[in-house]
Amino acid sequence: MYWVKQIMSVFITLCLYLPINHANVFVIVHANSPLVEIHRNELKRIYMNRRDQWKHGGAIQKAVLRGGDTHKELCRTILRQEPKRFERYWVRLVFTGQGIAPVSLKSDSEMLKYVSENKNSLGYVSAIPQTPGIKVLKILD
Amino acid sequence: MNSSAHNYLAESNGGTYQFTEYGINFMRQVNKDLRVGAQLFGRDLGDIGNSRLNLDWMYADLRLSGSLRLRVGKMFTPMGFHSEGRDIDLLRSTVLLPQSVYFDTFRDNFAFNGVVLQGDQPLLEGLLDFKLFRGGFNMADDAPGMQDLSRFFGPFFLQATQAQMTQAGVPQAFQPNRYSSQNLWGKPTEIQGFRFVWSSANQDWRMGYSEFSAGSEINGEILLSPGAIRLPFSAPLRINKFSILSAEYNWNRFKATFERLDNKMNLAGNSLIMEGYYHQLEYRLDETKELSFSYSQFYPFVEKGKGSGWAPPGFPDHRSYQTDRGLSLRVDLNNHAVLKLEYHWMNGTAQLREVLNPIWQDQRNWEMFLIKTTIKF
Repeated sequence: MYWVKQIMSVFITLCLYLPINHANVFVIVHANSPLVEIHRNELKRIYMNRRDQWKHGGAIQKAVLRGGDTHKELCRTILRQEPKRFERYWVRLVFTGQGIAPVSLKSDSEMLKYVSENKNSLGYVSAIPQTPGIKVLKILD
Repeated sequence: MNSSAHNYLAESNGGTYQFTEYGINFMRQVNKDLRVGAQLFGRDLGDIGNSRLNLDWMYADLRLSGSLRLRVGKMFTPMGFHSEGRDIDLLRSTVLLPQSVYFDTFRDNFAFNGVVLQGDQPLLEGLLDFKLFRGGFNMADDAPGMQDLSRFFGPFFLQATQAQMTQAGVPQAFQPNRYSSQNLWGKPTEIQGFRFVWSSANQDWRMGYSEFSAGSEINGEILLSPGAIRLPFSAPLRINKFSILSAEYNWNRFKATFERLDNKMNLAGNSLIMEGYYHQLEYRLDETKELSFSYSQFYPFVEKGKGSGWAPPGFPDHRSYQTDRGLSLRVDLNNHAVLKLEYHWMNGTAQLREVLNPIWQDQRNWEMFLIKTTIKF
């Protein structure tokens, strides 16, 4: 019984530290960004306006999709909240003057264009992009 | 809005459309550490606002280090979950914020000119947001709440005059039994306070405590009737401790909120205690619809140790409390338009304004219905 518990605990620990693929959400930055991975909590802090500067320097230019399944997936699996709640959170920040709204884009193609043109940008798309100038970040849980 | 009896917030008895708000705001990131912004806001709520456009807030926000920021300008007092966002109808499922804690008639008094030091700190696997503030308390004489202040000191003037008259041998039948006020104005003084809000890591829980103290001097005239007695006065007002305790829990489509207000004041040497609280349960039916039920209780004057309210002389006992059971439906028509329908079943009249109810109806139970649309762009 002791060994079963030990194996289980090692297995659970490994699971916690393994990078997790969040289905249908690929977090992207500009190809010149020094980042290769990002912790989910860090991503959450950025999208919740708790952090607005990259650690390597520069103001984070975050972008969001205006709706759709990819945006829902980001809200639910990464930000751990319903899209409506995320939207209201930002309405509160903007209308009380506590934050400037993220750039809002209609589609993956707009998102890819925006991120490839802005070196401090952060965004997300539904499929692994083939566009030059884009890098997909590994999300750590 | 339409109420079955009494005029509440506006001339609601029989229905009114005097219930509009509009605002526009501007923000600019000047550099990586400095942000400036302003909001113009106008409203028409009965005799309040009359659609005049005012500078609602305006400030410069400077990052000192990390999450620590210093904000200077005109701002809303950060109290409870809703003070700062109280004008933003889109943030909530209800038309009215629970009036036991967020009274609309005193809304303008909750703006102040000063400084706020704010930041956040990881705590217990969550995040603690803090705000410390200090500035000048807004007691503008055109703030609607000013005229309502008479209810806090009118009873004392009335009782003192009645006692003097009784001593002088004036029969009770010839003594005044009602009071009103005019030309009230307040001398602005300082306000200082703080707010702490802790959010759990997954944002399911939010708990907070906020508090401020402030002082002012109220000047004006008390009118006692019958007899048309005019009593000019000048009295110090001290808000010793105005506090709000807040808790919120989000679970799937449900959101439960509880907030409690305690206000300990001293007016011309008389201690006054005000209490209010509400529970609210919200349920998201689908992507576009939300249902909300709230239970709200308010006591403008609480007797120490008894935990119940008392009515000013000359008023029925239901002037000492107000219980509000509200049911709301919010429908997001599209990304820019929201429609809200709301019903209130009221018991008590503690929050009715004498200005709107010159002839007092002795009706304890009454109802109210509101419809509101909001457009965002």
